[in-house]
Amino acid sequence: MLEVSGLSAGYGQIEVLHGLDFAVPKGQVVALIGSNGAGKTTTMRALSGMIRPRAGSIRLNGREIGGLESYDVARFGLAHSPEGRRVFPTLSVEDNLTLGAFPRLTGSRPKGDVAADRDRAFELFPRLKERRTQLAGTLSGGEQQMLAMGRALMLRPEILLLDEPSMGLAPKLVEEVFRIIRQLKTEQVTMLLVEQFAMAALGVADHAYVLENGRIRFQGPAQQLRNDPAVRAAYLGGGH
Amino acid sequence: MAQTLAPNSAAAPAPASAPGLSRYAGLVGTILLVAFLAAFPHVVTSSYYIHLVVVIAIYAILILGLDIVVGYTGQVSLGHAGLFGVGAYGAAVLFLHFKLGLWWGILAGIGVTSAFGVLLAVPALRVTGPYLAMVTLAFGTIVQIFINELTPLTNGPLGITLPPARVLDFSLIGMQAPWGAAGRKLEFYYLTCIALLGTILVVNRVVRSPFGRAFEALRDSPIACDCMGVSVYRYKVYAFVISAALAGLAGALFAWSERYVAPNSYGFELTVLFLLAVTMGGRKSRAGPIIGAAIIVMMPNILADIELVRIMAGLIAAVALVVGALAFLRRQENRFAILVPVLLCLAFFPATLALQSVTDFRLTVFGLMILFVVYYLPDGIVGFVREKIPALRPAHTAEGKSVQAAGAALSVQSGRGGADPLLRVEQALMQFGGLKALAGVDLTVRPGTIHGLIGPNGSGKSTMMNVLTGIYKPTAGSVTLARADGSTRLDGRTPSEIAASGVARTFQNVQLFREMTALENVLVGLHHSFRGNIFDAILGTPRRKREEREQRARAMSILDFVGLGALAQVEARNLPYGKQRLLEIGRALALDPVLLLLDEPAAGLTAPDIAELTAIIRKIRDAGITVILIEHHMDVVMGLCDRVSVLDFGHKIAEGSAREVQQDPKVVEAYLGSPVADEETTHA
Amino acid sequence: MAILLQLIASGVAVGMIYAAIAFGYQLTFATSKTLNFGQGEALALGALFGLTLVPFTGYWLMIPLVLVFGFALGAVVERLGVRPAVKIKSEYGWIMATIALGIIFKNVAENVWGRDDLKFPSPLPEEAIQVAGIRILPMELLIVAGALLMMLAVEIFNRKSIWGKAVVATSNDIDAAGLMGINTQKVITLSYSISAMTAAFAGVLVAPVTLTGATMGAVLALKAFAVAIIGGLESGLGVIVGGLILGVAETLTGFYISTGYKDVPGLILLLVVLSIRPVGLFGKAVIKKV
Repeated sequence: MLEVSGLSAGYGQIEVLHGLDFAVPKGQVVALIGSNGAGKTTTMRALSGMIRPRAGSIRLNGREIGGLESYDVARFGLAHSPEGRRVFPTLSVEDNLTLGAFPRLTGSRPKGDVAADRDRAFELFPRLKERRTQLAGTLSGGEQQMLAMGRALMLRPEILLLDEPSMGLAPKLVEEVFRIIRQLKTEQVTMLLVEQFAMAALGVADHAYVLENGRIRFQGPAQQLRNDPAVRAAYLGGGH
Repeated sequence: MAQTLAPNSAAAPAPASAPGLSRYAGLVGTILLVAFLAAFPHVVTSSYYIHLVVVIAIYAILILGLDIVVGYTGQVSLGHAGLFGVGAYGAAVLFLHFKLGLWWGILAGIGVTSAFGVLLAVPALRVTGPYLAMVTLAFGTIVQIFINELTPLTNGPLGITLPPARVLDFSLIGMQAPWGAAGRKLEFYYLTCIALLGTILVVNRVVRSPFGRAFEALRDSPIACDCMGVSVYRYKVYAFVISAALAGLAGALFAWSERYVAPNSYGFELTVLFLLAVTMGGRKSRAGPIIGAAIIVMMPNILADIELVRIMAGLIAAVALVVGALAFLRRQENRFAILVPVLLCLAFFPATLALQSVTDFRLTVFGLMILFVVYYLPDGIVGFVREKIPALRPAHTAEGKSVQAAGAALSVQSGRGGADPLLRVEQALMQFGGLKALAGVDLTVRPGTIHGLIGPNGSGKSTMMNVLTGIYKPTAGSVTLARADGSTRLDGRTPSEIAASGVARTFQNVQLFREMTALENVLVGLHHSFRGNIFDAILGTPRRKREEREQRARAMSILDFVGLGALAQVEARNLPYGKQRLLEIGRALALDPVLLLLDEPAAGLTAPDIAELTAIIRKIRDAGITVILIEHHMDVVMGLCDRVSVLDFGHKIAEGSAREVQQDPKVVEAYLGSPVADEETTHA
Repeated sequence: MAILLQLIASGVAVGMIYAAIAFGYQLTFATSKTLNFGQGEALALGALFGLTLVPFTGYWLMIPLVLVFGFALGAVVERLGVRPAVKIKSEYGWIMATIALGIIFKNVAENVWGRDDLKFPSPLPEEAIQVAGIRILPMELLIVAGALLMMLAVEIFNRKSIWGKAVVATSNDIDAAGLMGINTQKVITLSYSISAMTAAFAGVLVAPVTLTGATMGAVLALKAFAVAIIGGLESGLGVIVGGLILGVAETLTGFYISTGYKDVPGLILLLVVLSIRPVGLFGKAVIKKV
C-alpha cells in the first residue's frame, strides 16, 4: 500500500529525517513511535505533502506521490488527520465533514454517496451528531479530535494518517479515541499512527517502527515491542 | 555617474585591518563622487543639467534617509513624500510669513519633520508590513489635504513662490563675493553637494554604530532584540526621526531649488518613486540610493525623447532575448517561467514604435520597473553588482578580516552568582483562555548548576521559558532572581528589563539577526555596555571609537569561546545550522548573564555538533553561569544536568537527579502512556 | 435636528461603499494574509468600463459584464502581483507589486479614458424623494441595496457552495485546507477575483453620484482600509458598522467644518486605530507564540 524509502525531510536548514524506510501493508495498522523531536510529525507532514521531501520516494499503491502538493496527495487517497486536530473553527461540524470529501465533490475522486458517508461518520462518532450544526471551534478537545478523524475518513481514503490523536486529551477520551481506532481496524482501514504514548499505540498496531533523532532505531511486531526495554530507553535515554 | 561608489566611505570608523579592495572601494567611490560633483558645473555649463544634478542630490538625501527605515529597520513607509512636503513647506512658509531665508528654512524643515517623524513612529511601534504601509500612506494623504486646506498658512492650492536662494550673504560683512556673479549661481549647487556628502557621512556613521545594529536587529528578530535588552520601541523611534530629519533637509532644499512649492507635488506617486529608487538602487548601501535617485530623476527626461526610448527598448529586447534564451537552455525546471518577462521585454519594443510619445505612459513604465525590481532584482543594482564582484562587498562582511580578541569571554561579577537559590519560581500560573499552560509550578534553581526542564509536548516547558524571560506575563505567582544587592522580582517586567537584570536566553527556533555577521550579532548582545549617545555616533567622537574597538575585541573573545572565531565576518544566515545554535549562545553570553536559559539547543543538530554543544555548556557552567536547559534529547539532558524537573500538563510531576527522574514511574507514564489503562481497554 | 438626520442619511450611502470595498479586503486577507493595494484602481476601472458599456447595454445589463470584468481583473492581480511574491516570502514584494499594478492600471485608464472626470449617467431619477422630511436620492437607496446584496451574495456563496466552503476553510487554516484536497492556490485566486469584483461593482454603484475617473478610487480605497481595520481584517460584518460610522462622520465633517476636510476623519481614524488597537474594534488580540 504505502512504501517509503530513503525519506529525508526537514525545515529550512535543518534536516529532521535522515533516510527513513518503512511500509504500511494494506489493511494493517502501523505505528510510528518515539520521543518528542524524533521526527514523527515531520514524517507525516512529508507523506502528505505539507513539506517537500529532500530525498527518497513515497509510493502509494505503486504511484510516486513524493513532492506533490498536499491537495494532490489527497486526490490520490491519502487522508491526514493532523497533529493538533486543525478543524475549521468557523464552519459547522457538518461542513467540516463535507470538506473532508472535497475531492469527491469536485470530481477529482469518485463521488460515491457523500451523504451516506456523513451519516456513517455520525454513527461512528455519536457525539458529533448531536452537534452537527454547531461551529467546530466551540467543540471540546475530544470532540474536535473525533471530528478531525471523521473528516479524514470522508475522503474514503486508501490510507489514513493519524498524527497524535491522543495529544492533550484526558485519559478517558484517550481510551475513547483508541476504541474508535480499533473499530476502524476491524473494518480493514489501513492506518499509519503516530503516537507519543507508545504503550497505547503498541496496543492497537500490528507493526511498529521506533524513531530516534530522525532515524528508525528498530522495528518489529507491536506485541513484541511492548515488552522491549529498548522502547523505554528510546524515550528516556540511557539504554544504549 | 556614481556607479563605482561603494557603500563604505572612508570616513567610517576604520576597521582594524581590512585587506583587499573592499576597504578602498568606499574611499575610491567617495573621491570619484566628490571629483564628479566638483567638476560637473565646469564641464557641463548648461543650467538645466546643473539643476538636474541638484534635484538628484536632493532626492538622494531623502532616499538615503528612507533606506534607514526600509533597508535597515525593514519597515515599509509610504509617508516619505508627505515628510518631504512638510520639509518643503516648512521652509517656504517661513519665508512667506517671516521672510526668513534658506538657512532658517533648512533648520525649520529638519525640525518640523523630525517632530512628524516621532508622530509617524507611534503607529510603527504597534504595526508592521501592510498595516504600516497603509498608515504611512494615510499620513501622506493627510499632509496633502492640510497643505491644500490651511490656506492662511500655506497659501492653499496656489502654492508659494520663493525668490532665488541667497546662500551666503556677503553684503552683511560689506564685501563682494570673491567668485563673482557666475560663481554665485553655483553656490546653491555646492550647498546641495555638501548636504549630500554630509548625509552620506552621517548615515554611514549611524548605521555602523550600535544604533545601526539595533535597527537591523529589530528588523531580523524583534523578539530576540528585546531579549538582548535592546528596546525595539526606542530604536524604531530613532530610525524614523533620523529618516524624517533627512527628508526635511531634502524638502527644504527642494523648496529653494525649485523656488516654488505646491500641494500636488508631494503625493502618492512620488512616495512610490522613492521606494522604487531605494529598492532598485540597492538597500543598505550609500551608492544604491544615489543610483536610484539618478534613475527616477532622469527617467522622465529619457522618456520624453521617443527616439532614445525606441533605441533603448530595442536594446532591452535584444538583451532579454539573449539572456532568456541562455536561461531557457540552461535551466531544467520551471523554464517556462522565464518566458513571461522575456516576452514582456520583447513586446515593449514594438509598443514604442507604435506610440508617438511615451511620456503619457511614464507611470506605466515606472510600474513595470517596480515589478521587474521586485521579482528579478530584489537586492537592487548594488546588490547585483556585489554578488558578481565580491571585492565590492561591504568590508565588514569580507572574509578573512580579523579582529584581535581581548578581554574575558565570560565575566560574571562576583557576588551576583552567589546567593542560593539563584532563581525561585513560586506557584507560577499561566492561563490562556480556559487552558492552564502552567498550573501553579514551583521551581528553585541553585547557582552554578545546570538545571534540566523536560516533559512531553505541550507540558508547559516553553511557556515556563517565556514566563521567565517576560515574553508572557504570568496570570499569578512570582519569579524571583537573587542578586548581590538583594533579590529582584522578574514577573511583570519587560523582556528588556529582565535581560538587563542578568537573564539571557536562546530560542527554540533560532532567532538570529540573519543579515548581520556573527560578530555583529554578538555586538548586539553587548549593547548594554554601550554608553555613547546618538551624537557620539554621528560625530564619531574618540570616546565612540574607543568603545567600538573595545566592544569588537570583547565580542571576538566570546566568539572564540563558542568556537566561532574564524567565522566572525560571516552573515548569520550563511552559517551552518549547528553554528547558528552556537552563535545564539554566544550572543546570549554577551549579556554577561548570571542565568542562561537554553531552549532546545540540540534540536536538529548532528552528533558531532551535539558533542561540541555539550562541551560548551559545561564550560559555561564551570565559568559560574547557571544554566536552565530545556531539551528533548534525553542523552544530552542525562549527561549534563545536575538536577532535572519534569513537567506534564502544566504540573511539575517529578524532580531530582537525572537518574532518579529517569526511574520515576510517573515520568515513565507521562512519556510512554499508561500500560495499565490500555490493558483494560484491550480486554474490554 | 432635521439637518442632522439629513446628514446621517447621506452618510449611509457612502458608508456602504466603504463597507463593500472593506469587505473585499477581508476576503483576500482571510485566505492569503495579503491584500490589493490597487483596490481603488479596480474600483475606478470597473466604473470606467461600465461607463463605456452603458450606451450599448443600459445600466442594468452592464452590471453583470462589469462583474465579470472585475473577476478577471482580480485574477490578474493575484497571478502577477501576489503569487510570485508570496512564493519568495516577500511581504515587501506583494505590497510593492500590487501598488505597481495599481499605478499601471491607473495610467492605462488615464490614457484610454482621459484625465478629466466624466459624468456617469444615472439609471434612476435624479430628483430626491422626501421621506419624513429628509431628502434622499433614489441612487443612494440603490447604493445601499446593491452593496448589501453584494455582500449577502458572497456570504451565501461562502456558506452554501462547496467552493465557498473551501474559501472559508482556507481562511481558517490554509494547511488543513490543503490536506482536504483543496487547491488553496486556486482558492486564493478566487478570493482575489471576488474581491476585485466587489470593488468594480462598488465603482458602478458610486459613479452616478460622484464623478468618474482614473483617480476616483485611490482615497476611497484608503479610507475603506480604515473601515476594514475597524471591522477586523479577518472577517465579520463589522465592516458595515465601520462603514456607516465613517460615512456619517464624513458628511458631518463636510457640513460643519469644510468639504475640503471630509477625507480627514477616515484617515485619522486609521492612524488612531492602528496606533492604539491594531486588531480593530471587533478583533481579538492574539498571543504571539515564540
